[in-house]
Amino acid sequence: MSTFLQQLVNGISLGSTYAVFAMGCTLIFGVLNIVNMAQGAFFMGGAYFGLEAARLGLPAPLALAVALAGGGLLGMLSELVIFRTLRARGGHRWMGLVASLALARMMIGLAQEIFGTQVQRYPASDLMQISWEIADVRIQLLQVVLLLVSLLLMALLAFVLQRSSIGRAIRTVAFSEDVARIVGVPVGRTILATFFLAGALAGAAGMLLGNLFNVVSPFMGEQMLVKGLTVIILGGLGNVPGAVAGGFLLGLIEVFSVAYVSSSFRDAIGFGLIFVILLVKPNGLFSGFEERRA
Amino acid sequence: MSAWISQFFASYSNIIDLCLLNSLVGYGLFLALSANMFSLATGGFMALGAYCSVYCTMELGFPFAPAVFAGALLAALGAAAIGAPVLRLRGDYFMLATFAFTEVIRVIALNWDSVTGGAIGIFSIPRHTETWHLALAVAVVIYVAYTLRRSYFGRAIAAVKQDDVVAQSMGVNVFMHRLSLFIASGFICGAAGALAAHLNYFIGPGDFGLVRSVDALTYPILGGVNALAGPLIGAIFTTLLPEALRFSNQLREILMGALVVAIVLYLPGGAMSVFKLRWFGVRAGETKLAAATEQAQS
Amino acid sequence: MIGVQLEVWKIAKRFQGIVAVDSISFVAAARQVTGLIGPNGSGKTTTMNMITGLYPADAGRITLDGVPLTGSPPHQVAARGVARTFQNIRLLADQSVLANVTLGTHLGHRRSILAVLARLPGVAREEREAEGRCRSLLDELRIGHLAEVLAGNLSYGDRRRVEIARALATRPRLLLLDEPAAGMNHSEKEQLADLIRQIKASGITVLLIEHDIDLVSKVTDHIVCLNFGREIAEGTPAEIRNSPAVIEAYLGRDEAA
Repeated sequence: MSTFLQQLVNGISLGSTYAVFAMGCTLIFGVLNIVNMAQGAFFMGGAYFGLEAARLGLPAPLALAVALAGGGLLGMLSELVIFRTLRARGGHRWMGLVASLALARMMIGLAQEIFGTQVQRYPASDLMQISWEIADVRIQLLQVVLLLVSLLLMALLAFVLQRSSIGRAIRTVAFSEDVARIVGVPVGRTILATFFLAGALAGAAGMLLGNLFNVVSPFMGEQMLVKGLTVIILGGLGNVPGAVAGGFLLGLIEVFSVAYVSSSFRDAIGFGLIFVILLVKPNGLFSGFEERRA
Repeated sequence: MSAWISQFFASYSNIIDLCLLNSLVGYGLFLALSANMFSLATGGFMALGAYCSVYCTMELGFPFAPAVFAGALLAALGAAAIGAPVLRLRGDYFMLATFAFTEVIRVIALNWDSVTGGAIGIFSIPRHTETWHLALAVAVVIYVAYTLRRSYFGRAIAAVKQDDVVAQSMGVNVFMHRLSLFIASGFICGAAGALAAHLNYFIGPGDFGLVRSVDALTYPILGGVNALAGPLIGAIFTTLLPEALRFSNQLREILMGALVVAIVLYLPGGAMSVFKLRWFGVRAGETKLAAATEQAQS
Repeated sequence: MIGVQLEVWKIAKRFQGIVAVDSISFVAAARQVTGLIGPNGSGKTTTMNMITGLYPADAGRITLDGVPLTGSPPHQVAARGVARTFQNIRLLADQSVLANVTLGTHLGHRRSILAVLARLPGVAREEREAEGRCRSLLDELRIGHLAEVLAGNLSYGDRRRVEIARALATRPRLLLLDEPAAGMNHSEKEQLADLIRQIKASGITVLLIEHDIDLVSKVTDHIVCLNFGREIAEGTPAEIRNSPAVIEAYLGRDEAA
């Protein structure tokens, strides 16, 4: 029983970072119907932004703000350099995938050039070493903070999308770019804002996971991209609440399959599941709330 | 002169092999793309071909050619098995399902230690692949693609790519056409995986992931998905350029990334479209205009 | 070429609860031209898509010469000798007129892929025959001189002709024309009427879906009028023109416009 509860705690804290990252991926898809393969690089970038900020002695919340802003700026950069031009030229949708992956590679190369290929770690903080034992279940303060920050980011995104004027604009563009233009929504700026939000979420997830595993490296984004794609398949492409649920689900699946099945087949179970879901329920497990265009 | 040529081949044979191998994979993807299948299954197909052929040569003592064939056949079977359900999915779900397939194969390769060597991979694979094997394979694939394009099959595929409703209405069994191209793509990628395994002495699960699959897509897309020479040009370009740029690894990655972005942005039809632009300068604009008026009228 | 008789019996189609076709029954007699008319949204194109297998019918039966067609996917419907054109012309814009029309010969090719790859002599002959047939079709439709032009560069009327040529290249026994006169001027409509008479004379059954009542009256033997997914009148062109139900539902509004 205590193993079960312990895995539940671990799975939820891991899943919350997956959820934060996947929300960004799915948001881009919901609005533009594309997969931005550079999200993994923004994730890596965010981890480094947060790391540098922490090393400069900024307190953790400010470092997180730096990671958010840094990731967001990278996201905007990808829109300005690649996707905007591709849309204007009417290029095939495949081109966005190839170009965003090339951008990701550039950024990985750049990160190696600047920060080196060595794995780096966040400055140790005594605060984060605190943990409690409740009925044989060890809960780290770090896990609690991660979960709270993730929930805060989810609530923030929900608020932005549902209540703010920029959120209304994003939802209109997601529904139909033409409709948005007719009702006077500035489509270009709205898409730019979407890329900022998605990049910021990826950057925040980078700092969160960098803290959870205490590893920051130029290559951390590639694995995360795979996880992000997995989650948005689970949740349904373009479905933000689905991405949250899918993120927690993937975190739990991974942790429990390590504990109860075999550590080696951890990922196989996740991907096998995706394959089945795609065939049985291609709109994701949580189809219903549809953010994507008709 | 002949001494010069043999020296040339001696010093560049590795890079020539790599160009040919990537071209082969590029043509595998070219076939899939020609029916609008944005497949990320390449890594999975190559892994199937590579592990199967290595098992055949090293464990079962097969000669090289049947082993390569067995690997290609297994990949084709894999394509047939996943193709039937996956091809019914819409565009993006198709891409993601093929991605999931590649990851499933990679994870199996990572864990089935007795056959795949697990995370460590398989070392000291006998080197059987020769440059002419690769050249022959590329030549055969180009011949097949060239001949098919000019046949009723090629016309049907072109219609499937542009408008599958029209294709169906003219009696084209769209599903079977796409499935057969997907299987052919699996066969070619499987053969490429088998040839690669017997070229590099080593295979490991890391060789066949998402990056491999996207790289493979890059060749035909950069070279041009409408020109027969597209995958060859794209593969040679993306293989030679990093060699030509003798910078640090990181700087090379950055420059390669920038170049790919530039090509995608400024030559959206792929590198081969340069020639088309020159020959049919007006055409692209006119087609767009026609499409626009058609939309306005319908 | 022998035209077949199309029978449609109580077919129905709903899209997410919205009734597109409620219950439609009619017969398109063999080697005749039957008109299917009705205001926008009356279910004409949905009916056509059910006949060609693009949408499965929710209920009802469709037969060709008494043999059921219901449930067959579009390519099998095409193999039964049903060809169609599209309301919003669907040509492959970046291919030549000839290539577009040759696509219609797809079902006529009997040689296997292996024969194609081996370049057996029969393959080349088959290709030559197909091309020859398509060129003479284009000549018959008086667009032979456009064979090498890209379909995207054609005028509107010519594109309609190419669509009809492509449908004829399949050697149809039943030809479905979906609003072929849309966007045409008066003289183009005259030419279209001639063409439809010509197709009828060659023995092909024609089902003409059309908005333009004048054109339909001129070329059809029999007219079925739809409204709100139901059939409201049926008869000869003269009967339809005088039917109060048709005038109320369709003609009145159309002529006012």
